[in-house]
Amino acid sequence: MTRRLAFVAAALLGCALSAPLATAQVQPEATEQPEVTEQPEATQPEVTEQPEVTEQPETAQPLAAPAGLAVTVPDNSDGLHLLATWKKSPDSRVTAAILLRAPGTPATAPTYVAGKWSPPWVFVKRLPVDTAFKDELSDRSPRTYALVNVAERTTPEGLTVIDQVSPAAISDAIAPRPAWFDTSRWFYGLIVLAMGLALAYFIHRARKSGSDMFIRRIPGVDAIEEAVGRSTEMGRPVLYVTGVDQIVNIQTIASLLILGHVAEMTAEYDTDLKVTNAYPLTMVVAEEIVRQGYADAGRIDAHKPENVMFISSEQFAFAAGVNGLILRDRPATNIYLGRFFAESLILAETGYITGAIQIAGTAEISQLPFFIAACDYTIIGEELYAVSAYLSREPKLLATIKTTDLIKVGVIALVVVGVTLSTLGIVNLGPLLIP
Amino acid sequence: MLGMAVGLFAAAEFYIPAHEVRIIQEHLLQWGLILAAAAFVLGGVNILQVNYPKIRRREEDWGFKLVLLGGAAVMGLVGIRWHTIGEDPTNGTIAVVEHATESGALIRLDSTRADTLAKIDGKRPIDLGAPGHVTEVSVAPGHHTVKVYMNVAGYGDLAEEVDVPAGGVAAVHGDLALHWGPSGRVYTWIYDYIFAPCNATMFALLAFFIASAAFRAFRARNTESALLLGAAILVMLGAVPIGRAISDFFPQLSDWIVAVPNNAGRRAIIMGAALGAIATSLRVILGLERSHLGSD
Repeated sequence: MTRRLAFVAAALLGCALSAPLATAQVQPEATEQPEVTEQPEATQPEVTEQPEVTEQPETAQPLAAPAGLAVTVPDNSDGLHLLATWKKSPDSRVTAAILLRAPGTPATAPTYVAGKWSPPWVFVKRLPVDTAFKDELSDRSPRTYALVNVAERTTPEGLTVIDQVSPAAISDAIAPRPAWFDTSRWFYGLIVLAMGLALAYFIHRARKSGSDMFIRRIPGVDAIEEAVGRSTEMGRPVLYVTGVDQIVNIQTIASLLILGHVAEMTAEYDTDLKVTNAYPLTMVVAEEIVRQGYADAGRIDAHKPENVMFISSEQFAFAAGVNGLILRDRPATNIYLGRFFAESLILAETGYITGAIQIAGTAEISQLPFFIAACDYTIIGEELYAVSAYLSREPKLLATIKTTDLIKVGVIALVVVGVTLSTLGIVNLGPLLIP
Repeated sequence: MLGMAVGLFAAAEFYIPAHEVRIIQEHLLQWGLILAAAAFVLGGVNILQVNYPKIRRREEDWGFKLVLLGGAAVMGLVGIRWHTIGEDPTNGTIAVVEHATESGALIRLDSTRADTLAKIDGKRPIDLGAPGHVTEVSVAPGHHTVKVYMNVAGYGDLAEEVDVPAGGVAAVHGDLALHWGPSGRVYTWIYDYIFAPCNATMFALLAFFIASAAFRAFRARNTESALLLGAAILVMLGAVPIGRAISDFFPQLSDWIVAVPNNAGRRAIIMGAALGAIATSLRVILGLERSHLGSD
């Protein structure tokens, strides 16, 4: 009950934080907002983009001031943007609207004399079509915006000159403010929150019931110990490849988490473990993990730092290096866990040629068929993330697998509901959940 | 604790649009980049530690390791921007001689390197021919822009503005400096003519490996293998002209297999993997799993 209340409170807090924080408008009519382009203050064309001005013919009917100018803090703002919206002028003589900005609350309305706007007004953008503009600012001091309609013509030399300028519509001064929750990402947040809550529940349950949690068998993982044993019998090393991506990738992290367990196994069996890495940072972490694995097995003396290698961060140079190692050292077990791309089959087929037991695992969906075709065991997608917990059998780690399963049930239910509603033509959930 | 704090911040940052948070995140990423760059030094040391003893002991294939270390040393040396050390190299000279011709104005071009091109006022490139060959171009007296350059990467270029008076000659002598460093001539040559072909060779091996792997995978040993074989035959028939020649049904069936059952399987794996990734992240961020830090 307490958790439910906490969840509701967190959701309400999120909604409150993400509500539009300020609005200042002259005429608050809602206008449809087209996609707008950002324009950094530093690069805004001040005078150069402005059309040249000519004197207004005395007989011309004056242009009406723009209607519906509203300046607001945009949704999910970073605190350095303001959104100006207005209504398109029905007057056919109006060729563009010109948006101006002034710091604070200026005492006078803008005037256009000799090709320049009267200070403190500065030119922001000429907008021939749009009825909205998202202005990028350098700080959070208040600004006032003015909008004028202009009638322009093009001279035979190709210059655009202003024939008429309307009176300005002027907004109230408004300061940009940041949003502290991105409402467009509420669904992602909900999933993570749900996972967090489910994780807390399962960890609590795991502490009470110990390791009495059922986790289905993963044959590929069960085969690791068998394969290490085979390597020991044959007197050949075990090769472990951590993938070709950097350590920031979650698959590489998952691979490194498993490496510790494999290192412990090889230390216990007194078998050489060769670890190849495509990035030096991965190599540094892998070396530390292997050292700890050997220490945990009480065999720190058997650890050989030179067996944890940096090969190359170039994809095919890495593949060539690992292939060379496979063909020279003839490891009896090849373990490929992590993120792989086109080199996956090159490695796995070379390993097949040497007759090694091969265990591969990746969440890279395009590489899975290659591993399935060429390896003895393949750890597919989510199984890669479960291996570490599966091997350790630690209750709190097993709790994360239970959490994933529970959320998966929720996702399946959502898919079924979504497909049904969409098929019946009632509602398409996609845009509602992820705007 | 520090790892947990940074991890939680990185997770929260995704949901907070405020500029201040973005600034902190950028700083953290820059620190990460600095760490990664420093790790490359350790990577270099590791390569030496692993390979040098094998060369010294003349172990199997020690010659390849010699090539590896030699190649790394060469690339390291040519990757330094030697040409920027000391005085900046000039890329040639332009001299204007008045009253050198009876009418009009001339631009006289030559270069110390073959395959040099020139552009006058941004117009069509002129090939300057062999070193020492002089090319004369008649121009209207007045202001002109001249650019002498090479199409191959790794050389400097001469880009100048020149006023050629009536009856004058502008002598443009190109002596384009060889550049070093990652965009220098030697580095790009080694990359283009040694590394890239080796890379392509490795990639090309994939074709043969696909054939051998497919041969093994498509043997109908059990029900699943038979299903795989059947689906593969149908998809392949749909993708080749002979399938369409037999019946229009094959391309349609092939598209359906790829778009419906195959896509459903893919999406299921992707969704499962995404949830697994979140769970792993939570394990690491919350400190439930610490083996990556060197202790369980």
